[in-house]
Amino acid sequence: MTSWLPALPVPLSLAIAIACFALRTHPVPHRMVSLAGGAGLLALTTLLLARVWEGAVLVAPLGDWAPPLGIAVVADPLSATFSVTAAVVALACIASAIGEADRGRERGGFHAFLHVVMAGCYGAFLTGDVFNLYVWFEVVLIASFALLVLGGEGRQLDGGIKYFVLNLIGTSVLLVGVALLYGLTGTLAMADLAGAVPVVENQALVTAVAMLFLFAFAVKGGLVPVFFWLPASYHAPPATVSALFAALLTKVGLYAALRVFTVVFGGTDDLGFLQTLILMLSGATLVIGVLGSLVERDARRILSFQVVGHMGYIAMGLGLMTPLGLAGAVFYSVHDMVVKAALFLTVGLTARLAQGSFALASGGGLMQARPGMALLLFLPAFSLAGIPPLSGFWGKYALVRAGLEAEQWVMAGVALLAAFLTVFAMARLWSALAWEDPPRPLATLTEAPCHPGWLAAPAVAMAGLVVILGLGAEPVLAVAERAAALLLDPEPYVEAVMGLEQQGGEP
Amino acid sequence: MSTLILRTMGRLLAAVLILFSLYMLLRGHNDPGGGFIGGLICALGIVIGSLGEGSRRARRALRIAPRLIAAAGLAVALIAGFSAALAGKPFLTGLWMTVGGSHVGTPILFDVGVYLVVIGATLALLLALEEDAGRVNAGEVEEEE
Repeated sequence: MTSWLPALPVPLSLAIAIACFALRTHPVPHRMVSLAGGAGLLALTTLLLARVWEGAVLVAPLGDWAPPLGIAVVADPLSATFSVTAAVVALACIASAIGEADRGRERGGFHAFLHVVMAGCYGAFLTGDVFNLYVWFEVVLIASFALLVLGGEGRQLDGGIKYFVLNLIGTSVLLVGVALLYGLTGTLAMADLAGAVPVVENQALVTAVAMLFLFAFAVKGGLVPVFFWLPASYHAPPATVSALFAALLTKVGLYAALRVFTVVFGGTDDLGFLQTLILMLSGATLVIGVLGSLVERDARRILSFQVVGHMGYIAMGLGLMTPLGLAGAVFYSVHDMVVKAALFLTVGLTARLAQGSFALASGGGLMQARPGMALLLFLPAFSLAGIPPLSGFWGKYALVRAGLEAEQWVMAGVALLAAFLTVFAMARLWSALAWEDPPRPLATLTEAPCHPGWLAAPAVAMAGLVVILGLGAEPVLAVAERAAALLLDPEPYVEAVMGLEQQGGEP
Repeated sequence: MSTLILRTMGRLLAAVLILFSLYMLLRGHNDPGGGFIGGLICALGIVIGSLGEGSRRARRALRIAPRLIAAAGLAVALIAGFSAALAGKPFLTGLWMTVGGSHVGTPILFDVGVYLVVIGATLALLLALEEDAGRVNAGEVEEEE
């Protein structure tokens, strides 16, 4: 079914970015436009999700050129679910940025770059074309680099360069993969590739191309052994930017992997080999990421390694490639975006109380002084660890069960081990920041120039969402199952995209 | 860097490259070319000119800040994309009319938008780099260890 709706999030985000840029010297209208834009995008993507909730596929052929000639923007339950979650996180981060009230960064175009990052994310989630996917990766990369170094502190530049160079290698490899795929099949539309890839004679070359894609998505998704850019950069920028990056950037890479390894490469001869490889990567990511977080002494570095480790769960669902495994991966992605945003925003709050330090040693005392904030940290931390009934439990439950059903005993064991180690890491984080005695008396939020209400509201909202996702997991799991069904059997997706009549603009 | 040869040739090359970039922009209508490559060539011309004349004069000659050029270009491209809605067509669909025997349409507007985005973004980066390098050479900035 054709519709304007899927095409809208990207240009509207860019339009908001322009408005924010134009208003950047007027603090109040600037912030309000950004906030209203974020809310508008949330409403738009929610409408999109409502339209595809039952498993429909909406297609917007850009320029009225139908694929494979043109590029189609496609919304299905998978892309709409990711878009809505991203919009929620973006809105929270905009509110938090308003709370930080950093005039220097605002004048530098902070909100404008944030909306360009969002345009890139929506573009990557909604595109139906692999080359276009590469373009959105680059848009996200450039805009997020700008966000990362905005303000120009030495620490930020150091993290920013590592981030940019390592990611650029990933996207360059993706470009090579896309070019080879086009050479093999003569098409770039994912729906067309679904039929074209299995009939390529040289299946060994298809596997080689798939490996290039896997490398690129692993870099983007922060999988072991190519995750080094992530802990090297996420601790550098302001807390809001860390929260946005932790929630979204790795998920863009894994979304692309979920889409491409099922729809495009789902019919190759060597699928079993690819699955084994993805499972091995995910197992290594789970263990090394979570172990890495155990040795760090800085709250944001601990959480950065947790970002890496928990990408392993999503990759595990992809590697299993069963309906339950993929549904678990989709649910886990939604949970992970919300919980990582909640954690980074809350840790940003606790750091403000500890004179701006994220070190575990300088935190503490929340239980006595601010029990509400201790709870605010407790909820996402132990949701991440998978304590029922919080949201992390259901994702892990679905994935471990899928692993057992697929008789991947080792994988299921590794997933449980990583969950156990995460409990340990989160207990360490929480007790250091909430339980132990602080080295210095806690500051108040109002000491630095900021708006405490705007800072606290998004953290509270995200923590609330963690609880809601845990108690009301049923509808999200249902839509995740429909998304997984469309990945495993992309026939309706292919029909919706390839069934369009060729119109084309004259002349 | 400011030598007589570079100043003289830079000015000439800048003029030729900017003119050529306009040709590439319009040529993209039916042949290889278009806003992206045109924008790159134009930015290159301005940067070569600025190597001889100094980036301050280049900025003055531009009159508009590079980032503002990029933002304006993005706005033009978006207007071209959304104008398809007026005709009830999907996003980015070209709307055409005939002016004096040749087809004119929104894709040209879109290409002009891309042209401006590329010029603005490229110049914002390159002029900033040039100024940083100039400050390092003049000893104003301590080299980091």
